[in-house]
Amino acid sequence: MRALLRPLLLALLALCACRPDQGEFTPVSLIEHLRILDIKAEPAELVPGQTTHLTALVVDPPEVPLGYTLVWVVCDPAPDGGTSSPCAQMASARDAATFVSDPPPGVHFMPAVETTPYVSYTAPRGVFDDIAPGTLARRRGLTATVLLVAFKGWDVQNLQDPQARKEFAIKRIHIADPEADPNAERQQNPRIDAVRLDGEPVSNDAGPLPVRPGAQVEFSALAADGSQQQFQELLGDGRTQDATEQAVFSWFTTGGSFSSLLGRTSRTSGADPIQLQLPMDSDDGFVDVYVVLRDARGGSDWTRRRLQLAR
Amino acid sequence: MRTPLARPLAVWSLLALCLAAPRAHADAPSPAPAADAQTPAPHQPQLTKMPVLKHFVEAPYPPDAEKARLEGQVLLEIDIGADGHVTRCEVLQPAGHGFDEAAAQAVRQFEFEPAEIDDQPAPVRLTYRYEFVLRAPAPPPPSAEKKATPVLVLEGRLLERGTRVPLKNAAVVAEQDGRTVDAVCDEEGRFQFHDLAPGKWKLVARAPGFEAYSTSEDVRAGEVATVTYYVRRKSSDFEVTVRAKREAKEVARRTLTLEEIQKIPGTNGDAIHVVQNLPGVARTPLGLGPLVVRGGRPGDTRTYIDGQLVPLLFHFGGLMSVINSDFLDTLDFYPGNFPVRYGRSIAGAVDVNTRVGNRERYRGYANVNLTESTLFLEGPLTKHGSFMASVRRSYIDTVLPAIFYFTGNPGTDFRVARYWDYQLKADFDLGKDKLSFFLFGSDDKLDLLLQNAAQVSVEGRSNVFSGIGFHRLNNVWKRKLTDRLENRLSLMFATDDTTNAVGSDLFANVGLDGIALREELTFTLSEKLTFLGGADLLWAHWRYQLQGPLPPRPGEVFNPSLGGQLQTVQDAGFTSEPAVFLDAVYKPIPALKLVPGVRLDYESYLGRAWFDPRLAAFYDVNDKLQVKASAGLYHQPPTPEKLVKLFGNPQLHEEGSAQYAAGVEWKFAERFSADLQLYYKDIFGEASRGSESNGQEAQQVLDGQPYANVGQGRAYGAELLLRREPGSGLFGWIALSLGQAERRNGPDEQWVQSLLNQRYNLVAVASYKLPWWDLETGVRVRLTDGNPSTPLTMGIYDTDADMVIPVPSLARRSERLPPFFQLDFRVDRKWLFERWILNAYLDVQNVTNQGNPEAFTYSYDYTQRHYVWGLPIFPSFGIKAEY
Repeated sequence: MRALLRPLLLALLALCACRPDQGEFTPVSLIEHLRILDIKAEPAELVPGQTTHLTALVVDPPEVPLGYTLVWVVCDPAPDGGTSSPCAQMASARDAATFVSDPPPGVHFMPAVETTPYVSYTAPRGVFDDIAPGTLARRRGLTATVLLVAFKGWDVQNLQDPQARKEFAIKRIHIADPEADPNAERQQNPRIDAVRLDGEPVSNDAGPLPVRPGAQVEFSALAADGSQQQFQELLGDGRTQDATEQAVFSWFTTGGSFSSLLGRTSRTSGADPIQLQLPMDSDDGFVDVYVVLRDARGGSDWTRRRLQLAR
Repeated sequence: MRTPLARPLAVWSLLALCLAAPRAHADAPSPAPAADAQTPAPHQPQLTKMPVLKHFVEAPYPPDAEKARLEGQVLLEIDIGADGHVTRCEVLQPAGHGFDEAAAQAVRQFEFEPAEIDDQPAPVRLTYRYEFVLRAPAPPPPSAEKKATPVLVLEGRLLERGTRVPLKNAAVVAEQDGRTVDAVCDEEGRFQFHDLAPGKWKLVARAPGFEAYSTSEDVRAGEVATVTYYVRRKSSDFEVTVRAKREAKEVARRTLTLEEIQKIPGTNGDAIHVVQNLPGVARTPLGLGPLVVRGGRPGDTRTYIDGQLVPLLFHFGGLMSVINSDFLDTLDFYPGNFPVRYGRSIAGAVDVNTRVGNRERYRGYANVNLTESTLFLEGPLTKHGSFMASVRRSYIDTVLPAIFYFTGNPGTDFRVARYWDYQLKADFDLGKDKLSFFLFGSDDKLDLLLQNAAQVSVEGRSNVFSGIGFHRLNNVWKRKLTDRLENRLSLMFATDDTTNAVGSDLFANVGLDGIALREELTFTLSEKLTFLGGADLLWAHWRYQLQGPLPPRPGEVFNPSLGGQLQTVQDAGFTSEPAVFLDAVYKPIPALKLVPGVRLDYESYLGRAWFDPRLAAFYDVNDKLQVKASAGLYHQPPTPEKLVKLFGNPQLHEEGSAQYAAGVEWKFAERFSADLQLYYKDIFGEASRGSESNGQEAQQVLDGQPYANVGQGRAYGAELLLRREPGSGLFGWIALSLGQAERRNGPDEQWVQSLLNQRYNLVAVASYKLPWWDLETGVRVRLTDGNPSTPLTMGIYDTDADMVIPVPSLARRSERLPPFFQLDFRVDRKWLFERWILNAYLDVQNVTNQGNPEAFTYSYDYTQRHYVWGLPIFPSFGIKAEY
């Protein structure tokens, strides 16, 4: 485990002396092309036989109005409780066309168009049958894996075009064994309670929010009460320890740039504010700001605020 | 009137001795380390007696020179045989005017009491300065009365300026009104003058290798003046160095001396970093990381201190090595084909040999630089012993806030970031018995607090801790049992502890406590045949406790949400690692030497034994040219993390390599040599995780285990070392490595380049001691092939962790970074005060501010990338006060 030290030091050096100029890259928070920003499962956690609805937050900047197609692939958990999943193989992403045209057993292929960016998935019944009761693997639960592919255009055949840009996203859905801990509180998605602009709560009800081009505005967001659930973290030796979910906000924008500590992150914790330096203009005169709340256990929520650049 | 005289006294100096050891096993190893029972420790031949001049022949003063009132100094190099006779005499620095011939003719008639190595007469080489001076005739014989009652009027000591070393046999001449009187210093550097007339006397002190010292003293009737003179050593001379040249039993052993190690630019005088400038060693990015030798993996080359394995080479992964370089005598580097006394390694070995402390005087220093401070002390210990002690402590965590004041804090609090190490060594020479006790250890601690942990990971682990420490006590007893039989017994106690943690739920704690015993017997059957036989044993209690996610399998997309996939494993037990080995040096004819050897190892943890036969052959074409070849089998257990339950595979067996090398060594001029070697290495049974290239097949090969012995490798190349040994203030070398190293995870897979496979690596190093201002300069030039790299072609966004996971190309290591070039410069300045020395150095890395790409950095989605640039021009400065 000595090797652990080396990457830490390399990271330290990278931070201290040899930090690359990340400013030359497009910030992760700036949406310049088709992006998948989140996948939400509702409910966030399943038991065998239960169905969840999967929704994707997909953003397609307006300057290239070709529309897009989503290809959903959901892989059932490995029957033996193993972690390996066909949906979590790099080869599946490299050759997505082959993967979806000839899926192995337990893989569900579900194409959808822009207007229906959601699908449903039902956890197989009897998925725990091959795992001995009382084992750590059974207490830990199983994972169904979602692989989402997005690409421009409405023809699924574009998936086979190696030149076409494709966006890949992966999500894991926890499937709990109801017999392992019948009294356990099931995991819920967190919920964004409010978004504030320069300290004032704002909503989309009144339409786009007017802002001055080139100005710097401050955003913050609040998670609703109960979003950060208490839970028992299962350790590797079977013991549990009390833990609390995180509440991490990730910010994205279609114009301008966010401030952050390292100049490259879009995330901030809790109600910490984040500054947005607005652009002087945009193609349609609007800037969309997205914030995604994650609890670090697979639960998430998101919302959008539209700003109008008004001189 | 002056009388010409060739001074017979105080004119010879041992500037550098190269000794031809009479016996084959001059570098027998010492006991095994805790983690490696078979580890050898070489027996370093000791010069136990200096040659003593017992018959001096005065050279006739050349008449022409005398007539012209000329004086001169002739520097000669002479070889003294084991019988004390001069076998060779060569003029190194001529003086002309007939001085050279006269000096050489006289020196050839000298007779010495021979030098001894390990208490045996041995041939030596030394430099000798013969000085011709014009001097006044001896004063007329004093009267009988005065002879009976000489009156002491002036006494003093002659010491080397800065070091306070007495100058034995130095000459002091007192002069007044054309009259001169001589005195000669004794063993303590003391001199006396009697019966000098009252008044002012001019005094001149001369010693070979030292500048003349001139002063004047008032002599008063009835008073005794006591003086101490501090004489400056000539800046062009290196310090007295006595070095035994061991008989080679290995095709590829490269030995560096302390004076070479401490003055290489860009290495901070650090021994292990200097090794990275030798042939066969790959350049590591940013100067970090362990040694990668002849296509081996980083863990395949082991480093020993006095034959004991040290689990940690560098503090903090690469800043400084864990032992103070002032403890070093020599450093032996074996890029491959090492002898049977070393085992459990399939690449190379580095053995750092510590020296014996100063038995004549106390000496110490304090060294302060931007990152660390060191205290060092050595001196005599009882009548028969000596000691050395050193402690070093860094204060990086104190310096970093100051750096961040200017650069901006990257969002990390360094609660602790420090290392320290210590060494304490005592040596005793009890005649036939020699005892050594060496206590040393190291401790690194890094404790980081991320100010906004959510920016690194949505799981929010905010603290990172790493602690690595080890301690060793090595006890060595050497005894010469008979003229033909020598015994070396070593007992070593060891304890290691490593703790790494991220957050409260990810950790890895590993520890080991052990005892290593090593017994070696050297038996000289005849001049033609010598044996070295031995056994070593490690008995250790080990323990580990790990908690974390299992690493992704080849081709699997990494799941960065670690909390839901924790696995814990802990275990403890005992292991024993016995080994026996035997080799022989057989010389059927004087020009031919054969070194066959065998080694048998057993590893109780694996429940496996292996047998390693090895053979080396040397043929002397003449006294300057030698051809050599070697072949052998090498095995090692997999590194511990691969044997851990669940995370590794306890069913793994040993890894192996077959190594072949051939070469030629040519001493083409005085102090110059060339060593050319060709090598081929076949690697088999490497514990490998498989690769994605064969997809699901990799899992079948691995049989569901994280690791399997399916790895194969091959490395081949040529290495050239052109070397100028230290002398006349100059040393250096040019190291050129050409090679290719490849790996694959099974016979059906494609070969891919090995990690850090550099097709060429050129390093030129030179250091020169300037004749003025006690200045020493050094340069290092490196030109190296860029490292192989695997392109990252796309990314998969993990929406749970808000992180993009890179997808590497299937063409592993299919591209290469641009070549690396760097010029480093170093200057050392020494200020000699009477009783202490102040050293200062300026070491500038990358003088030309060359931009060297060391890696790629990618945009968040891996569609764009830029270089991570290496070190820009980087000056460092340090001072060292030595008493």
